[in-house]
Amino acid sequence: MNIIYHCFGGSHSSVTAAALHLGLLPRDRRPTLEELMAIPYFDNTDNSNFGSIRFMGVDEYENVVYILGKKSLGNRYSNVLHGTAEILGVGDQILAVNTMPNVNWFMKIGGFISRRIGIVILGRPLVGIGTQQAYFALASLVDATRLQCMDRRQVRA
Amino acid sequence: MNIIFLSNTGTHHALIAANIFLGRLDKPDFRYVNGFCDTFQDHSGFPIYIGEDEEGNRVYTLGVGKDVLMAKKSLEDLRYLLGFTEKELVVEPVFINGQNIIMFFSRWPKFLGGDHLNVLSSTYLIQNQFNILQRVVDNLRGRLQNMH
Repeated sequence: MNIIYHCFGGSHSSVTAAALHLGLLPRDRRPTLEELMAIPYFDNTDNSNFGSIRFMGVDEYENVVYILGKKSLGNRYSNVLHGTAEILGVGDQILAVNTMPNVNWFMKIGGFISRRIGIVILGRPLVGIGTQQAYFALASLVDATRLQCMDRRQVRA
Repeated sequence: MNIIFLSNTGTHHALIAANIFLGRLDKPDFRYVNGFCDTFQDHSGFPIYIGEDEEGNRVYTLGVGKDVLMAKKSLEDLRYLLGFTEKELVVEPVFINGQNIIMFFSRWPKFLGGDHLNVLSSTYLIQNQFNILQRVVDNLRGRLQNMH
C-alpha cells in the first residue's frame, strides 16, 4: 500500500509523521531539534516541491510512505487522491492522511518565517518547538494510520 | 482510458470542456448541461463522472481550487507511483480568463443571491470564451490520436 502524508508545505508535520511511521524518530519521548533536522526534507523544501509526491521510505510491512505539500487545499485533497485512485481501479492501494489538524501556531508561524520569508535562523527553532509540542498527537495519528493499513491488509487477505 | 478535466471548480468551464469533448455541446448554450454550476457536487473533492465517449474513454471533471497546476503535478505523480501511464489517465487542465470570479461567486452565500450570481457570471464568462474551451478539446483530441 502507498501511504501519503500531506500538509501545507510538505516539510514539517507530514515529514514528522512519515518519519514516525518509518521508525526514524523515537516514540517514547519528544525528539530534539537535531533529531528533527536529521530527517530528510524536514524544513528543507521550496516552492517547486508543492504538489510533488516525494518518497520517504518503506515500512516493515512493505507499505511505501510518501509526503506531499498541498498548500491550503485542506482535507479535500485526500478525496482528490482517493478519487483518482478509484478511477484507476486501485482505490485500496492508497491511503492519504491529512496531518494539518495537528499543526499548531508555532509550526505555522515558524514554517512561514523559515520557508516563505526565508529567515531560517528565526523560523527553524520555532518550528522545532511546535513540532515537539505536536509530537505525540502526530504519533497517535500515525498509530491510527498503521492500524488502518493493517485493517485493509486483513480485508484483502 | 480515463480523462480528467481539471480546473478550479469541477462544475463550470471544466464541465463545459468535458461536454464538448463528449460531443454533447457544439454551441454556447448551457441550459441543458447536466450539473452546470451545481456547486454541491464540487465540495467533496472527488472527481465527477460526466460520461463515456464512443471510444470507451471515461470522462470526469475535478475542481481543485486556486492551484490547478499544482494539483495536476500531484495527480501525475500519483498516476506514476500507482504504476499507470498517460494511456490510462490523462489529466487536462482547463483555464479561462476570470475563472477566479467564477470560483468567488460559486462560494457566495445563497441568501445573498449566490446561486443567481454563480449562474450569471459563469454563463457570461464561459459563453464569451467558448472557443478557448473548443481549442483545449481539439488539442486534447490531437494528443490522444498521437498516443494511439
